[in-house]
Amino acid sequence: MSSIQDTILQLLEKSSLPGLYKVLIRNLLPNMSRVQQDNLFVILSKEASKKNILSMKAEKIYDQYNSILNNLQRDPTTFDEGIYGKKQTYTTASGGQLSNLKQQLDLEALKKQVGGK
Amino acid sequence: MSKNGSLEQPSTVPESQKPPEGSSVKGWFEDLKKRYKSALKESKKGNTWKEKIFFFLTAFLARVNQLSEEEQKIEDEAAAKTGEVLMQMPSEQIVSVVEKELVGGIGFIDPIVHDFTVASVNVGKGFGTQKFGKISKAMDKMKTGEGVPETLRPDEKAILMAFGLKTVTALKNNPAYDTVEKFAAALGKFDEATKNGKGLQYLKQPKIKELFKFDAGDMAALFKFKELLPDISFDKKVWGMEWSIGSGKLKSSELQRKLTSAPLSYEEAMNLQGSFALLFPNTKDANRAKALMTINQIVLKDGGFPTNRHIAELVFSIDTRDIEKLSEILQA
Repeated sequence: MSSIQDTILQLLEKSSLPGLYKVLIRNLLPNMSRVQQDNLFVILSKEASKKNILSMKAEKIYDQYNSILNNLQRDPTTFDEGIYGKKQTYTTASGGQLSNLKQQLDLEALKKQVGGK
Repeated sequence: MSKNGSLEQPSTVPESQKPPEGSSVKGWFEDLKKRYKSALKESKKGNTWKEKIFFFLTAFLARVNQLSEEEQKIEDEAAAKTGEVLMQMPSEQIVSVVEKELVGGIGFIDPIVHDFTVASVNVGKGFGTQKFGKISKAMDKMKTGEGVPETLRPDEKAILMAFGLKTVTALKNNPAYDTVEKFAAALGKFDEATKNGKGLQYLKQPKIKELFKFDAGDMAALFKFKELLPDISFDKKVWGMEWSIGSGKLKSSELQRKLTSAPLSYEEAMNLQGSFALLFPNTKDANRAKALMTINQIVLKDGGFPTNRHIAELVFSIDTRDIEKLSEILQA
């Protein structure tokens, strides 16, 4: 088996391709032309690279929201100043990423929703 | 009491374990989602605490959804491009791999397994790379657990049904299976021949039958008829629509009651067959009545799963053009 075929099979292990595609690639790889193998290599490498970037984003969001919940569970008054008073303080205290939240959410609407239940 | 005077609720939810490297988006956040939801549940007595958890939970879910969409795009793109490479391979090579996988080895391949595989490969190629990528992903979900998994989205279920319908139609046209008896016997052989297969569970007859289980809920995919029949008022389920029959005014609820309460006589089925005229316009009245009786028998059976005989009867009662139309509608 050539090195490109080995690499494709290694990439295939971590790929999210459907099971049927994986079975077909494993069995048909030796019958594929060099161009087809190169194409597969590029597709799988790109997928792996994009997934890697996505995983880093996921880790960042995980750390951020895990930390928020841990802080709240340790001290329920955390973020009080930010949420109920100076929103700017809240944004700064929680990191720049939370500024997106302000755009996505209407806090007043949420207060009404929660209060209504 | 907290410093702002409200009763706060300290949490007993344990802290998350960081997921392993390389996890999917779902893998990353499953545990943390549970923790947030538990915290929200725990916080009923503390209004400010609840409000904060709700606020962060909503924001958190928005970020997770965004990442899930990105992940979906990456996966769809990889599947579509890989599909293009695979489609270039000769059909006989693809068939050879799939049929070996279906029987679980290199041993004897029963002719029905071969014919079924040829039909599904040809049908699959006809769907194109993007749709077939989606079908293959949905097949993976069908592998897990008993019955049709809850994780199968309605659009995935619909496209699997469309794929199954087209494959069945292709087999119906094969002279080796051109009667109800031969078709039902072939399906029985197919069950037997693929029972030791390692993968591709969806392509095995029992899994397909699970997808074609007949009950009101499983007919939900047909609500897409709404687009074709704009004058008819639809609920989200086809049985929920107000469907007049011929010159009469029999409502869908009455039709459903008749189909689910007692066996239909042929005379009664003939009277009701008009209700299926919209669904199967090319099928003759007498054959529509037969299809109605078969559906009635399936619905009355425990679990609503069709037998091989039921499937064969439906395949030969309903006009091929109507089956294909149904497949097209499900893909829409």
